[in-house]
Amino acid sequence: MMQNKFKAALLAVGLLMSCGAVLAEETFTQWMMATSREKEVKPVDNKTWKEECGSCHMAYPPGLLPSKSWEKLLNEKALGDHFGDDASLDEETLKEIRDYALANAADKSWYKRSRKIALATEKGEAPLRITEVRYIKRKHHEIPEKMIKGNKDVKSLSFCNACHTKAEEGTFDNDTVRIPNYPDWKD
Amino acid sequence: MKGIKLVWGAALCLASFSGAAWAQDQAAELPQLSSEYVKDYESFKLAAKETDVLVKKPENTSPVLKQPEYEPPMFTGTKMHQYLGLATVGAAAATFLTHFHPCEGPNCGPQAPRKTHGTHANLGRATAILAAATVATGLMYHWEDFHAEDGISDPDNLHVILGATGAALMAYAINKSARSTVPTSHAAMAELGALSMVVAIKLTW
Repeated sequence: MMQNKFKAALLAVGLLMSCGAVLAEETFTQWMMATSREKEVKPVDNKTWKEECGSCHMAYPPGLLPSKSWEKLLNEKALGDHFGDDASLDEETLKEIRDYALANAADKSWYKRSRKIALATEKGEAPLRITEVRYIKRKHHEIPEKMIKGNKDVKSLSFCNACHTKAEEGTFDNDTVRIPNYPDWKD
Repeated sequence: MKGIKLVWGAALCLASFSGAAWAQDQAAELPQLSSEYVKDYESFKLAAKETDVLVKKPENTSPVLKQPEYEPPMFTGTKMHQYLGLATVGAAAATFLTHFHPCEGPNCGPQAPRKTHGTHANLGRATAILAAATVATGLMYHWEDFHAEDGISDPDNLHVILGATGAALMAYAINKSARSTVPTSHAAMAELGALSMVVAIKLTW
């Protein structure tokens, strides 16, 4: 009886430790003991990021791309031609934004959806668009074209908040999706 | 013995933290009766030709309907899976707390037959049923999140493996002891199963 319990305790400890090893480099204990929900993506909590990025498009949470993507996107040259637009920033602002992105990128985050994005982008070229991430593509592949490109109130997958009603809060789950003009659509 | 109690203590702490976090969740908010009546409020207003529901946009683009504040449904398959998982952990903790250690050793007198329908046994059965329901709803509503090709480091894959293993271990422990009138060695299996489920929940919490 006692021996069995000892084996069970050993197994339990092994189980916990292997999960930690699998999951990441640091602060496994902190994450394990965290009381807040970390199921989605960390919401944007940087004023400059919100203002600068949010002035043209949704201020995408940095946890939607890995750091290698932000490195490619957030430099003077790349911002000079940011998907066809000039999004140049002064040096100080660029540094703040870049530091924020790199500190909260998918591969630095404990949030579940970010961890999945980090795993999906671990190998290969850094994606420059969120919609190029394998995991994001797979999550949306069942949605008919008419509901996205053919939908005048959505137009592109890039407009996350057109359907993800809680995108600003970093929540992208099925329960909070409402596709404009298709209120009865269910995944 | 102390070791396993410590592990259990940690598991209970985790479960209670989960509860605290869950309390912050908006999901439990009841919908207002008025919002149920006017689900399609814009349509009513448009039908009445009230123009303030239209967002003013440049003339060369079509008007877009203002999206009303969206309240996610209170009860969905996903949420049912979540509630069942938490209930399973709660029931497992209650089962543990109601366990009784029979006297072991040469100085023990004759033992009363083990209760097969006492509080502990019934709570154990309830835990097994809840665990089975959790696995079933997980398969139904989250099957698309499981991708074997993503490997064991994927949090959803790990959640499935640990959750299903935990449920199976608990079911095995309960099956082993359910009809036995003499003490059986089943606690370690059940405890390991419950712990496995707690870790599975935390991975996707």
